[in-house]
Amino acid sequence: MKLTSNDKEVLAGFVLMLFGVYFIWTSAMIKGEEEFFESAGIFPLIVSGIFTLLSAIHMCVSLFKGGHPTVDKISISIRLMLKNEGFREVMLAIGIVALYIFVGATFVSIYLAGAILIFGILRGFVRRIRLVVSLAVTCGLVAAMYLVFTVMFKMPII
Amino acid sequence: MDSLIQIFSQLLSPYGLLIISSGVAVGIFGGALPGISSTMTVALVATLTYSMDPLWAIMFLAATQVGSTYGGSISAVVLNIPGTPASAPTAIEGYQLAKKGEAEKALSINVVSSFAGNTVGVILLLLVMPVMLRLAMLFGPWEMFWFAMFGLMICAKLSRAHFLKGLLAACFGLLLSLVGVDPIWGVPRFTYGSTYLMDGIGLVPAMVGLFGMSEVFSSLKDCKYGQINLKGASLFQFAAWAKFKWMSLRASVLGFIIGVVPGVGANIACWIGYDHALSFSREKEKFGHGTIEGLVGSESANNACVPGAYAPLLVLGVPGDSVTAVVLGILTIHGVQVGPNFLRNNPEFLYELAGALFMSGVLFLLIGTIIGRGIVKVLTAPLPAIMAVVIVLCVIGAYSVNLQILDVYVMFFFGILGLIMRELKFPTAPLILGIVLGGELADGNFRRALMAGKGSFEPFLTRPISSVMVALLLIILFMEFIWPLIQTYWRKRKEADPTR
Repeated sequence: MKLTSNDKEVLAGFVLMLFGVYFIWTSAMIKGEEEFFESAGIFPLIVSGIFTLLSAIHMCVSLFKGGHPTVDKISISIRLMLKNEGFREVMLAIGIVALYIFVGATFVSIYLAGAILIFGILRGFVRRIRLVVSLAVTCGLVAAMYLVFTVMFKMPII
Repeated sequence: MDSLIQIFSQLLSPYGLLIISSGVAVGIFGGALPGISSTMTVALVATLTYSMDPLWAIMFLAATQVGSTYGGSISAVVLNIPGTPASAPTAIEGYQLAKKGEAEKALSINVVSSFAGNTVGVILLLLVMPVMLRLAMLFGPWEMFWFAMFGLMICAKLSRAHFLKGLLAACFGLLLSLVGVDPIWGVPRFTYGSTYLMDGIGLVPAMVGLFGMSEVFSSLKDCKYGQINLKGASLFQFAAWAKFKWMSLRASVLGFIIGVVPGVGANIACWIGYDHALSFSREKEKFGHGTIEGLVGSESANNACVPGAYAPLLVLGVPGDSVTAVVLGILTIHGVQVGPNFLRNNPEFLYELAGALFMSGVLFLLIGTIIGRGIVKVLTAPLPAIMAVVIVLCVIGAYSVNLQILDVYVMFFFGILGLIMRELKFPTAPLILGIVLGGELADGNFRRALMAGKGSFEPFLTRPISSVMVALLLIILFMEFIWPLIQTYWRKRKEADPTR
């Protein structure tokens, strides 16, 4: 059996609670020479405490509603998710964007890599579009962005 | 009078007209494109304002916001996809009207109702500002802190998700806002030795990531729309709206009030307006099957909300909605610290902004009726193609704030975070509001208040305005957490013993 929505909520509450505990610990570590009530760590400590408390409430409410995540349920859900076409499409989208940002925009150029990205997406995701049209659309769009940001507004973007 | 003439001559100058009309046009276009919300449109065009004067920058952004709030209704009618979340009720009624062959009527009702809502909103903004300004002068750090908390609480409550999830998102936003050097003592918090994090998490990269990139991730696949084609009828039909002018006025007032409440915004105002139209309608059964009243209520309210959202921003520096949160971020980049003192010293700022908002309304009335058909044609572009452009714009938008590639990485991280939050049905608006309100307004005022009270928490509860705010917050918490439990208890008791 895969994870139900209540199971997911329990897991989400648990993960958030861990984050909350970590934030409490980090906030308590913020050192200052001033009084406690004046210190830089007091507000983060209070907010982290509230965050942890709310996460715990969220987890408990989901548990009371019947949430009971088990290792079996989690592994089945992961396997089903990996087979899901929608999930693969989202992962593909994230991969494409990551490639553009971490490789293209970082090492090549925002515009040039952008042109490759737009052309690739037009060819890969849009059905029934001719090669010449995709090329023309890509060049037109990138040229328009270059004109607006770099020429008109003089932003040092390359 | 002289200054009024000066303001209008400035707004009607070629540069003023260019700024406002281009803001409106970009806004309509962005708002009309499915998946591109008002916040995203404003966050993307914010890049263009860095080289502008702060006043022109805010006018350009306000014009974009007005344009996009209206623009969202176009795709709602023609494609049954709300261009912005604030057009969701418009899609319910408008698309049904369009299917009946009345697409032009629906579009014209939208444009006139939006104009009416915007105009009423601007008038109310000018009327309430002096009162709000006087009230704001009574606010000390205690009240400012509670006001920030109140904004977060309302945003969490009305974000159309589970209240607890809204609160969690708001708290997470607050924690993220605390990253960086503490503004009072200069102590680094949550920076982990990184010099980049010393300046805190950039608001623009966070917004562009949460609202823009996360949308891209979930929409980058070919979609088929049930598009409606327009016939030759006029896109300006005043008479159809005039039948519901009083209802439009009431919905506009409601929309404005929603706008003034911090952190709520047009996404909620549209439903309040729609609900108001439904409550007062004599033909309730027609709702959901294409009714003009529903359109008038929703569009009047969401457009009146826009000027309303600027009231708390200008008076207290607290954004009325997520779009004005972006505007606040841009003003901060320009070195403008809005608040009561700023407005007292620069009263022309309010009048210029109100003038720009009004002119934006006039311009979208013209643009909407003249080039409405052209915009509908553009909507036939495949969604992946639109999203490809959005990806590049997101990267440019995040990069151009500080010309740092690390900002782009932060934007990407927030895109993933937004996607996860969407999957788990956590609202993103409270998170952004938490980031906006956390640093200076919540943390800064909280500690200033503690120092002023020599470590005492008592003034937080005993000062008159503070105590009212605390009472309101407690009522909200009671209604959300305790009241449902009491109701369940009584229901169970009644079920167990029906004679009671």
